[in-house]
Amino acid sequence: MVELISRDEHEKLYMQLFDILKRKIDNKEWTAGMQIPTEDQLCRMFNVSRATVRNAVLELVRQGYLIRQQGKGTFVSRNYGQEGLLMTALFKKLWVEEEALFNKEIIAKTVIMPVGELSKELGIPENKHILYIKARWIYEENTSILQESFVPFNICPQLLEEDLETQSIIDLFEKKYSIKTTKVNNYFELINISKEIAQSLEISEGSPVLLMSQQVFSGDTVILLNKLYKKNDKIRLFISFQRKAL
Amino acid sequence: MSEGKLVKDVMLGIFEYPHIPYWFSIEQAIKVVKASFIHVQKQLDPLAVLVFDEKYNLLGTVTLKDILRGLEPSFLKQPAKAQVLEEEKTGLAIVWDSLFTQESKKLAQKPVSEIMVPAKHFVDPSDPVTKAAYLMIHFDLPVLPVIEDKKKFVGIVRMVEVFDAISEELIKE
Repeated sequence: MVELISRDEHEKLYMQLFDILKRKIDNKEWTAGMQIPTEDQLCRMFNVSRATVRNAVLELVRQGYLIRQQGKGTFVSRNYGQEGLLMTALFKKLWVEEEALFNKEIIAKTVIMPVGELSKELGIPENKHILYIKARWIYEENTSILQESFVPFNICPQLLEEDLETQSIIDLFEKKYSIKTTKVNNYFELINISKEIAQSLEISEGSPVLLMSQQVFSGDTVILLNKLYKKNDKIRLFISFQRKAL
Repeated sequence: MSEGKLVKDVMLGIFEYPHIPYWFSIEQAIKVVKASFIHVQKQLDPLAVLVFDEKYNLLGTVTLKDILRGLEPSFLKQPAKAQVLEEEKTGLAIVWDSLFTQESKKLAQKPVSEIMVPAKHFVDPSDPVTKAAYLMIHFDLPVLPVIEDKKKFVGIVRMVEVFDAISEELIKE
């Protein structure tokens, strides 16, 4: 069955196409290892532009549903949906062993527009306001981690008035505003730091840092996007998984 | 005009306008303008972007004119150019073609703080519209911030509503 894209909805076409293709994978209509139709075929199937197809496919690649093989095509990822050991991890605001040793200092809290990549990562249009928070995590008087947080403004306008130095956004969502976190996607990448972030981390521009991007969902909505920039120092990131006792 | 309209009767909410921090580049500001007004065909003339600091205090406004002025290559910023004779203008055709390309790309990386119009003049929601009109005329402001109790930024007044309110008073018998 071919699902159709609605042109009346304000949702971006590529987001709609993303959902449709994702459903094909979730429903096993497209099975693991299978080659998906080419861009041209998808353009014709859904009567959309090449750019729309490309954006939707790229997002599926980025989220691990699809794999692109140079010169061969795009395939459904074999790892996706594979059963692994089901374990639980305690979700912490900072991925270090001893959070208590760190001091958080807010260096910016303002409202911006999510132009470019940011709008894709947040899944909202570029003309929707977002709350932007920039914070330093200080360990023994050194900035170890720089955190940028982005919250679609309509999710929780009251956050602007909250003290975010002593409270975490997720705690506030859960305990005060009844916004439940249902899923957290984490991406890790090694990047060369931009000038602006370098200054806040007290390192030189272009130095390698670990970037952890964290998409926090409530249902299908991204309610928070965190970007943690971790410089090379003696602090290690830490996460512990435990098998749940039955 | 004691029963005349107040600023709060005619102002727009601040979220009608896009927000950016002062460290955004002109290029980022252009993308914001395109995404917020031009691509969605939202006509909120004059198109303006509100510029804030780290603590979400309003610093100023950026209009299309400010952006274009910021991108204009320095060699054109000569006051004498307005005196050029009509026929000589055509001789500048080649220059026009490359006007906003080379140097402008570099200029687009400047922070918007360098091109914004600082927010120096305000009105309170309870001020009469006439005060807004006065400030707009005398300081050449296309939009005017509305600040409540001298600290909370609550809205924007545009010339079109000010004009409307004042002209309505005048023409009614």
